[in-house]
Amino acid sequence: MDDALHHTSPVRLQRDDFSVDAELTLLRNNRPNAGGLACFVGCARDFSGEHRVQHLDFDAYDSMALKVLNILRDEAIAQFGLIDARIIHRTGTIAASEQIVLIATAAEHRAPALHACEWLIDELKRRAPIWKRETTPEGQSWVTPHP
Amino acid sequence: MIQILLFGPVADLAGTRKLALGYLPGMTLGDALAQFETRYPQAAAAISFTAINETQVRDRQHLLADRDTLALMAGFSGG
Repeated sequence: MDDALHHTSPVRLQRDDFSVDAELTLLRNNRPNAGGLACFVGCARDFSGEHRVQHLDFDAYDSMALKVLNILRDEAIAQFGLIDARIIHRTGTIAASEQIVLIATAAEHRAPALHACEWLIDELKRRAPIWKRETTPEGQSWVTPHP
Repeated sequence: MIQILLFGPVADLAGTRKLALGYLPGMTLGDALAQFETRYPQAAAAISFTAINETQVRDRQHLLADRDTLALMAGFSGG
C-alpha cells in the first residue's frame, strides 16, 4: 500500500509512532456536525509492580488483528451513532513513555464520543490478537491479560 | 496440509512461529491441538484462543479443511 495512503487509513497497525494531532485532524476533516471528539492514548509505563520497565515488545497476528479492529470500529460507529472513529496500534519495540495505541471518536455530542472511546479500548484489549512483553533489568516476561 | 501459526508467548515456548501439519480427511481442531500438545506441551499449556482462517473457533469438534490456517494464541494483552 502507498505510504501516504496507509497513514490516512482509520485503522492501522504500524511500527512507527503516530501523531495525535494528525489523527484528530483527519477525524474532524470536513465534518462540521462533529460536536464532540474523544481520544484515548495508551502509553508505555516505566514500571510494572516493583520493576522498572525498560521497553515493551508487541507481537500481533497482523491480518487477524486488522480484521478485528475494523470490526470493532464498525460496531462502535453503529452502536454509538458515531460520525467516525480511528484506531491505531503500534507493534515492535516501544520504549517506556512512548505511545502505544490511539482510539479517537467523533460524534454529534460528547456522551457517545466518550462512551465509544472507552468501549473501543476495552474491546480491543479483549478481542484483538496482540501480545505485550516487558523487559526489565530482571529479564523479560509476557504480560498476563487483565481487565 | 494445515498451516499452524504461533505468536507471542506460545511462539516463544515452542521456539518457532510456524509449523505444518499433515491433513487427514475428518481431522478436527481437537486432533490438531492434541498433536501440537504432544510435541510442545509447555506451549500448548499457554493456549487460550484458537482461530481458523482468522476467525476464532472454540469447538474442538470443528472439522478442518485442507490448507486451513490454524492460529494458536495465548490470552491477548494489547493496548
